[in-house]
Amino acid sequence: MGDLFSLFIASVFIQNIILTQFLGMCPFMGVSRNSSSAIGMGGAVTFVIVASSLVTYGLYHGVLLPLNLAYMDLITFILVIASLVQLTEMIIKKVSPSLYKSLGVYLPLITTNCAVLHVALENINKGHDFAQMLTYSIAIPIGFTLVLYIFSTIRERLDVSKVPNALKGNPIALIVAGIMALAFSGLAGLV
Amino acid sequence: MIAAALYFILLGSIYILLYYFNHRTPLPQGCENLKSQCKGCQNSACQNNPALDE
Repeated sequence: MGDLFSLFIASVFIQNIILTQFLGMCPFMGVSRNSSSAIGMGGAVTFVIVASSLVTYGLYHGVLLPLNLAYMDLITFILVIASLVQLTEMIIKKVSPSLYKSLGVYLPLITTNCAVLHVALENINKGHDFAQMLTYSIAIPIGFTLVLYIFSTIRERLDVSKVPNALKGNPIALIVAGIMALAFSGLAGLV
Repeated sequence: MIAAALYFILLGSIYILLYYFNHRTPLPQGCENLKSQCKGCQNSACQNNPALDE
């Protein structure tokens, strides 16, 4: 139980997918202009990562290994993720039109969000058992959502602040992201 | 080899089916012509990059 807790804390804060591994930068910059979109994107990415991890883990151990098709892991994971993104988009269209309005054009980005593929591959490469896989697959998107939300609230403040013309937009956002990465690196000795 | 091909066809079919159903699902009202607020980065492969509209 202690190991799972350490894995959870390490995955959320210390090995944060955005700030220490620099994965998922596209939605990090694209959907961080307001906090409600950031929460929505975080929810969608969480659903896709958890669902894709469960499916890919099951397919790898239940189909690919018994049939000696382990070399097809990458193509399997990509197709599963792409299928789940289509499913997620379909559900959001039906269930929450307002969320679709704020996320619509960015939803397909989840397919190319390398964080999703990273989690699926790491679960296999690190030899996680089922409990570790589930913990890791929940912790990584929580870390993603947390950083995305914090970053979006800072960007909302930046929009109404006096920023030099040369730094407006992406430059100041990247400087803020760098400072956040420094702050998170201070948590390195936590577990 | 045959198992690999069949497996690939099965996964591909599931993706095509979900893609088809997703595109048949009607868009919510007011979402017919959504544009991204993104001003574009160096990733020219991203479908939201305004450079593709030029």
